[in-house]
Amino acid sequence: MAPKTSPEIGGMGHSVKRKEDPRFIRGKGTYVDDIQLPGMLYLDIVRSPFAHAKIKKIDPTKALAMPGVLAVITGQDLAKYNLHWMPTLMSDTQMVLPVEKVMYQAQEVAAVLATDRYKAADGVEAVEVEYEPLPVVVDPKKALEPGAPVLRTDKKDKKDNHIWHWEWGDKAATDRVFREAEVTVKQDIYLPRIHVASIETCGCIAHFDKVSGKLTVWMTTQAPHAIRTVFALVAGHVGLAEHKIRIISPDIGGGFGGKVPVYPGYVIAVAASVLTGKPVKWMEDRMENLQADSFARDYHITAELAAKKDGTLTALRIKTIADHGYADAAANPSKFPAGLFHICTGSYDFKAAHVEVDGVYTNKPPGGIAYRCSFRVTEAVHTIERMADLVAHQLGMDPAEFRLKNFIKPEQFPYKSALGWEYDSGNYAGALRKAMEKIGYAELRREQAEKRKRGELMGIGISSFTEIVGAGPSKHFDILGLKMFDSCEIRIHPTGKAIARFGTKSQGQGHETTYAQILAEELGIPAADIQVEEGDTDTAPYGLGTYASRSTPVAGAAGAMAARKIRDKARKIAAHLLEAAEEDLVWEPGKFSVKGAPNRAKTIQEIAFAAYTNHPQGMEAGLEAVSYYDPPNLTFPFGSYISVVDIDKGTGEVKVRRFVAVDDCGNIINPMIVEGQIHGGLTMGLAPALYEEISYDEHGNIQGGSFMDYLLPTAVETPRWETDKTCTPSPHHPLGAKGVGESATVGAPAAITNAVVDALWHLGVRHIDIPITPAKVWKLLREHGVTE
Amino acid sequence: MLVQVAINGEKHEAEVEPRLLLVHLIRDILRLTGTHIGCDTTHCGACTVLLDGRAVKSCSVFAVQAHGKEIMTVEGLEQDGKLHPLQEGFMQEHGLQCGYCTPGMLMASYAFLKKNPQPDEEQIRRAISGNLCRCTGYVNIVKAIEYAAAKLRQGGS
Amino acid sequence: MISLPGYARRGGRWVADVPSRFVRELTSSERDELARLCRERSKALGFRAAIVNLSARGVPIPEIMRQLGVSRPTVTAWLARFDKFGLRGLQDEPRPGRRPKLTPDVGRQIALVARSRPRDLGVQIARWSLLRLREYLVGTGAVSALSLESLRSALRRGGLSLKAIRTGIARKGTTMIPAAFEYHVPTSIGEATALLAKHGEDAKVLSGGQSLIPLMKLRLASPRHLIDINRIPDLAYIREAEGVLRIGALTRESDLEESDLVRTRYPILLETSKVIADPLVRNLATVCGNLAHGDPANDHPATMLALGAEAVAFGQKGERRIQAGSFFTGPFTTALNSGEILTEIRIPIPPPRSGGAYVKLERKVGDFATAAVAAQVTLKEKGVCERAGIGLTNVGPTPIKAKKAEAFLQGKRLDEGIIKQAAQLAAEESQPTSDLRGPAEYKRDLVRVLTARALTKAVERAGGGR
Repeated sequence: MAPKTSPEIGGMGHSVKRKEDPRFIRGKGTYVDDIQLPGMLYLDIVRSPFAHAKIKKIDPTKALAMPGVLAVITGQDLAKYNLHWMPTLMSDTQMVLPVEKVMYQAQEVAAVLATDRYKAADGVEAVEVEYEPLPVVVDPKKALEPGAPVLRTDKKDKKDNHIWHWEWGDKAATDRVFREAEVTVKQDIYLPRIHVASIETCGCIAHFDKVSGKLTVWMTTQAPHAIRTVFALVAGHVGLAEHKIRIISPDIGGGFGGKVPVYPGYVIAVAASVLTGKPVKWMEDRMENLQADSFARDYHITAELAAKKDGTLTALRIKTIADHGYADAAANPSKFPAGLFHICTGSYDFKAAHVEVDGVYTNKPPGGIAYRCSFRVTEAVHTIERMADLVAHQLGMDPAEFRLKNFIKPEQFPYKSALGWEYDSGNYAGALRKAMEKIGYAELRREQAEKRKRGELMGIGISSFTEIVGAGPSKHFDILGLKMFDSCEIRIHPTGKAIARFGTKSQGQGHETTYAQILAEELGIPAADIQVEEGDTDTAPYGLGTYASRSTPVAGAAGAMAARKIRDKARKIAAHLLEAAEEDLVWEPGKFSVKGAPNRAKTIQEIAFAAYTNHPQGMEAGLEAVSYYDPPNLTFPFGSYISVVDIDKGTGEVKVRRFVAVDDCGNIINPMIVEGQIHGGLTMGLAPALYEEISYDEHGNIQGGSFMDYLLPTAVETPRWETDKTCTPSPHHPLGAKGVGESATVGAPAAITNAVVDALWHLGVRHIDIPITPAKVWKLLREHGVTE
Repeated sequence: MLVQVAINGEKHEAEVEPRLLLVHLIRDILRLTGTHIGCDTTHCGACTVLLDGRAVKSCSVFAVQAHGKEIMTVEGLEQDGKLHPLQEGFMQEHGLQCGYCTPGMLMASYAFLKKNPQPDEEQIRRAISGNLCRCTGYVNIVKAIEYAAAKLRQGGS
Repeated sequence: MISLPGYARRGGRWVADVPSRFVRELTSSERDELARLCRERSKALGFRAAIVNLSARGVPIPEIMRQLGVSRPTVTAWLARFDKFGLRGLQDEPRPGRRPKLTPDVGRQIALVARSRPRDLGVQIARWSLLRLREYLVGTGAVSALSLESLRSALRRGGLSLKAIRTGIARKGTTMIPAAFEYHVPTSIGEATALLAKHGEDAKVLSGGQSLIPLMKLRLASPRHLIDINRIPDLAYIREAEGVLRIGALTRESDLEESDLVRTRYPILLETSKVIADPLVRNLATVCGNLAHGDPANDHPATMLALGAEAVAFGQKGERRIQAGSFFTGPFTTALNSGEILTEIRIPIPPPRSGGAYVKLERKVGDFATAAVAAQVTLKEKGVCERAGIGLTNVGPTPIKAKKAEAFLQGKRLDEGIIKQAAQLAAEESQPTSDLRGPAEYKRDLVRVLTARALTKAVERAGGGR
């Protein structure tokens, strides 16, 4: 789609250079840890070496005797104010600091407040804690067995470790299709615990001003407004009212979902500041970040597909055990404890489907948040794309041909899925065909056949995913009751420049640039003249924040709607200035002119000036608007990815030789930024596919709790991504846009896994769980008689 | 202990504990906050600075070790109001998103281009393999460094 | 030649150049035991220990007399008894008697192991039990045999109860801030070794610091004294002389990569340094540090084993040379005495028709090897092997010299079949354990695969005997 505005205006479709960059490339960004306030104290946290243990005694004596150590805060201290427990976003509860027992390794046990970070660290070393170890439950399946130790002894009536059961779809109809199916396949798939590991860890500075009673918190959060409300609800009884709380989310060094929850460290820092009246900084280190912050995934899935012999898919049935750790602290919309997992019918036209998920407590950190993914969508996509390949291979069909046969056809949109979603728009075959052409699919299949003859292992993997983003319509979507709308407030200044504030919060997505482009598109004011601000709850309108690829679909739409309100008023002013009837005015980006007399025109800048200097009688002065946008539906971006892998028979190493990604996210605001989002998303798809995992031994000891063993890919492991696009606009979004930040993370793991299995299928290999480590591949190779 | 260093050509001194890490001297005491901390275990490279011309991870050097030495941080790249070609390249090629790893990337590639002004893609990827980026997928960072290399070869600052 | 103020070279050794009588040089265990005894100076034993201790720190006899208010004969008598009988000489009734089951040195090592997290030592359990601790200590050769009772008492002496270990008191939080220490900046190697001698096991040498500083930040190492040798001049060099390639104590990994000499004549060294950590770490990390750390996962040890290198250790007693083959004595322990600094690596210049290669499998850049193999061969005419050196990385408690494979290759024509057999032997010589990088059997098989690849490359570089 060619841009409608000139490059000078820089509306949609222009690769406008980012407004954020000038400060970042000079080292002039302001991240939380960059802020230093006079008299600031530092908080550091004592953590549990045990996954499950009774706390017998916490002895702060030695710590308190150290120079610079001011206080050791324990659960007992917080219990005086009833702040030792807090609600999670899923209406479960989690500890801020424990009083009786710890429930996972690295859990917060006590906090040390000191005059600098070195002294705080010394204090942590000196706090003595006596524990009595309790039996540990690591495996969620064992946690469900009768006789398993009940973990949540704090809940009086809790007699087991089962959190909730959730199911969706027509069970009877699905079972019926399965009974009559010509072909069925069944596969266990495990999606391990992983961690977003944004390069900036989490932290905050809490500053409670005793005189004004106002609490200001600079915080690494993706959702500042929701956090403010949560703080007010949790701490209302100790006098923190919402108008006296200001959350500032400054520059954020990557979020990806990990900066949505409220972590105990934030709450303790706030408590410490309220107690002392001094600013208190808490910054977690990398090991704390990996070991204690909310995790993603940990889904134990059993999936079944039913199909006809000719390869037509008929039904999908899934049972899942979701390991939530000791508390369900996922960040899902309340109505959907398994997030949007029921997008699992993917890009295919099913007659029937049924999904069941059971949430389980174990002795692990709480969570179940996203990993750059819209609420459990990767889990869904990985499952369906793995299963599609299994059936295709089983039937001897080419996986591409199989997909083309089963895709929902363009003319079926809007399409109602077997699990109740209404897909807005799509052209799945178009994206797959483009990807096949770009990568040279037929030629690669020939090469693979040749190599196979020589005993070399090469695989080609496809993933044709459908995403579901932009939560969401208030009818179904809320977090803790807060509806998932988002907002924009625009003020046009007399000289035609503007400031716009949004309820979201960029963590690298480039909102300052793309939002300005949306407004430039709608108002014709150059993007360069529009200042975008987010993240300060005292100034920005209320919104639910940035995660689940919702910024463009929801806040972006709010921006467009607010701009249109401004345009409506501008039309009235223009009519007044031009002495013409409103309906005789024609809009083109940046000006109104009189129909048939293009020279009789007023620019938006002239109109803005008039709004303050010469506005019509009876009209309020000024040119401002606010919009709270409640989307009518979600948006459904999609794409087709193809990867080519080579496998080393001696070592089991997998090399991604090529990776082509064709994405469709509807109308694009900034192609440069969209491509960047896809590159990043693909890398966060590669990472869990081949490298990242957090596991636990039988004692609940975390494995992979530092960057030594939690393996973020470097530039050397990461392939040179090849991207392309198709464009199928969303019919309901005011700009026809869909959201793109997470598509690649969601789609890529299956493309890589399918390629590896494709390389090994002829040996008898049917499935491999991610991360696909050399050791796992080696084992499969040797089991199937292949060696160097 | 007294530590005297020249950072970006400017002399500074501070009385510090021997255990103070160089990155904390730079950030917390001298208040140059462009240098970031991302992992603490020498894996992420967000804290990369130049120490007597060598790119090092300042989270794994004690401030006292830098006594009498020249340090260059991201704040020293821009000269007389003119961006360094690397800074320009990162902006032109969209080599950054959240910006957190960017200063480390810039400093690692600055030192690298001094040694190897005409690198190929593989060499660039190796050169920045001590710096983790979670946002960009590295493709555009590689392009940004190529952009700067080309510009520097043409005599751009 | 290095010049050391305050020292003179006598009989090929450096000795303190001061005209007074001093007690003989202490072993590190003696030094620690003395320090402990000195704390109770009111007791006779503590008093005697103080005499020895002062002398050991270079305090002349008149000054000892002054400080402690004793006569010269008393001082000289106790010094003489200590020289002859050691610590036992200070007892009231010097007698051979029953020897304590565990020397203080071993006791300290036990305490050290007990304080560490098992996983940091490559043992995949969460916390030590007495049994597992004993298994580890015996397995690594720290002690030959040990009753649970003596282990328990050793722990007590080390200030650790088993309860403390089991309840994880040794580890809380992950502060990433090192503990305080005293910082020393010697300007000569003699000054450095004197400092080391003075502070014994309370001191650590800081060279590149790329292993030590992260360990200190994790508080897995908390030395009271840090001896920074980076300001000692003339310790960074790579040069060939008298038939050996010499690499100095402060030669950085990146120096190897940038050295034309290494690039053109020692591809195995270049290959090794290029896969160590990442380019930024290599700008500080030193070659000698990579060896002196004694980490079986480090890369240079295998290469030095393959090349038949020699380590030059410098201490107060002077200089000694240690063959790479006997340098690595246990996990994180080397043949270096606590007062010694590794000042130089000497690699015999390979004769014509030699070639070497280092092949490493790592999970990603910056990772330690899942397994890696260094191979160096020298061929006679017609491709017959004259000498083969094979070193293995991270597949045992120490770097491993694959002696059987080396011996097998000698005198044989290195064709594919022979290489395969040697690779199999090397695999059998490895002693890997299972961890996150993979199960032991995987690593053993990797040694086979990588040995074959390294040997093939080495033979190719040696000119294949053509």
